[in-house]
Amino acid sequence: MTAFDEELVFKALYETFPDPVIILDAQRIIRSANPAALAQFGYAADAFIGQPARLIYADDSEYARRLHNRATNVDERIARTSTYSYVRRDGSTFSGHLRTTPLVDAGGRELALIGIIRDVSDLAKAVLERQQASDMLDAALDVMPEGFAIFDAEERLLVYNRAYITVCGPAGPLLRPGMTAEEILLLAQRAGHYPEALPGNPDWPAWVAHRLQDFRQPDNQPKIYRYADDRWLRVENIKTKDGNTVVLRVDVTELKRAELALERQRQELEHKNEALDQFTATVSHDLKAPLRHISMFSEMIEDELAAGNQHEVSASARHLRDSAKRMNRVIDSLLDYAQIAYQISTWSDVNLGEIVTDTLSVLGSHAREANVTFEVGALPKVQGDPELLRRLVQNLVGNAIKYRHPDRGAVVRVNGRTSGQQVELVVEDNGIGIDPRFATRIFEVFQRLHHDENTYDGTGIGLALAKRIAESHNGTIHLDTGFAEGARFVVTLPKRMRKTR
Amino acid sequence: MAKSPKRLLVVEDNAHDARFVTRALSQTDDTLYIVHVTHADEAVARLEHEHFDYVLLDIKMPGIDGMELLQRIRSNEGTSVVPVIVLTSSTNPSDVLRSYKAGANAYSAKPSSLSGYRQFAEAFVRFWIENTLPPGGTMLHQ
Repeated sequence: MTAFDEELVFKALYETFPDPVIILDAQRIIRSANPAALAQFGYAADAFIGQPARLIYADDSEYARRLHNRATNVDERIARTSTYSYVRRDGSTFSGHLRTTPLVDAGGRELALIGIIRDVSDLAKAVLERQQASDMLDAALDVMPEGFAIFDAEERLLVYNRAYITVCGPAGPLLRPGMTAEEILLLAQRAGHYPEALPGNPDWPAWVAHRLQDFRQPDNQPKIYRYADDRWLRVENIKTKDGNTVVLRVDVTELKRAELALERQRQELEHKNEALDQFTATVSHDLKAPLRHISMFSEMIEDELAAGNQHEVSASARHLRDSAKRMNRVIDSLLDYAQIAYQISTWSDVNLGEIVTDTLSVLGSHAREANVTFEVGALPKVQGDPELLRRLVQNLVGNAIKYRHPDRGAVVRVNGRTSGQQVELVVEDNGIGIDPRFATRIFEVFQRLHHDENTYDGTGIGLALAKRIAESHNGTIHLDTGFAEGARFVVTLPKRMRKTR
Repeated sequence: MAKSPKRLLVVEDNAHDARFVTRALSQTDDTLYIVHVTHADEAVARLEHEHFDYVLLDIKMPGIDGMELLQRIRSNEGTSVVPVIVLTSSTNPSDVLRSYKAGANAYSAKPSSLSGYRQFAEAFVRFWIENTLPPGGTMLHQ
């Protein structure tokens, strides 16, 4: 074994070192390069040695960055801050992590710089790909219409997308990574973002506690909350295996509104069905009763004729005729009722004042007979079918006269007023009044409150007709049950018609 | 058959129907004492002060209807066990069911002939009057 020759060893190391080693002088001229450097950059030694260092940098800006980093003594141990794009002789480039060691003389002057360039292309590519994947994911998350965020095990916000900022409402612009779920919730709540937990509502702490509970121990059931005035938010919190919480927020307003509209329609339909059932039952009852009576009185006449009971025969014949008349009236009323379409088609401007004046003159003789005092206030104009509105007024005023109190002078008051887009017509009397228990039933077909047809005749169609007329104008009618002096009916009509529905 | 006359309250708003049924009933049993009222309120007032053995009730009446009256009769201590026979023009099964649920003892559709009324009266008298046992289990006609 020969003696240990240190110089020889270092030379061998230099020759066989797997990473490119390049030595520059103070003028940044390449003075030496090991075989690995020549191989990496693709030069023969004589074409490489003596060239300026700029040769190996991919472009001016990359070289400028290197010079800047050197001047500022950047920490070269960190690959990120000390990786440059290098160029081979054939023009291809690669990423290299540069680490340098200066050689200084006793006076501190730099003589040369030893640089080791490790090819980190594979690593740089991996990093780049990861960054691209991450950017892609961020971009995808940001265009997602669903709000998405991840909180760590300490309930601190890690990442969130654009939609999440939106659903957080007033808390959205204040979102920063590191904020806790509770802070975010309270920020939005205090700003009135949740109609079910407005700051003035004494129940808000319970509501917040409930939401936090669902965040901390999600039961995997999505919840729907109202938010942002009149919108609906579907909230889903999911605990992941690594202890994070993924939260998903979907605006389900359209869905919820459609659901609510459907429910409303269902109820309306149910109500209409019930009304139809009621109508059929009532109509069949009121048509069948006189028919039954007719049949039985004719039977009685037969019996009485056989018994030679002349006086009874004429009484039964009279009853028979009455029943036939009654049936006729019922059928007429029904026809009346059926003729009013659910939606009238012709609209014109109608002066309610004129209609009331006309009605009073039509009912004049009747009213004089009953000694009725009329007090008519100023009445608004509406749009509608004048003939139908005339019948509506006639029915109400007629009822007011008919059901007068026997012990006091009858007073009928007709007043109107406009409030917003609505017109109100109020007909009130000081008559016998209506038991508030029957406030709804009186508007059903053939519902009468008085059995005594001699005092109060009629088939019980008047108010049903009035209701149908009001409704065909997209209006309403109701009995003011708070009015004790007599009966007060309030008809509400829209001032202007919507042409389409 | 020595007996105190049975008292029947007929609640019926229609004058013709009331006439048919009272006629058929009194022709079948002339000892039956019949009071006819046309309005549920009147029925309530009469039941409050007088004793009735049976109530014959129409469902469809102006104001308080028969069903509501029946519920009142059942919830009132003095009348809670009075037999109530519903006699109405409705043959609607839901009305029948509702009547029994509200506490009717029997339900009958209004007949559409005189003989039908006679049959109803006959059945009423046989079932409700002749079958009645006096307290203590002794037969009524002994």
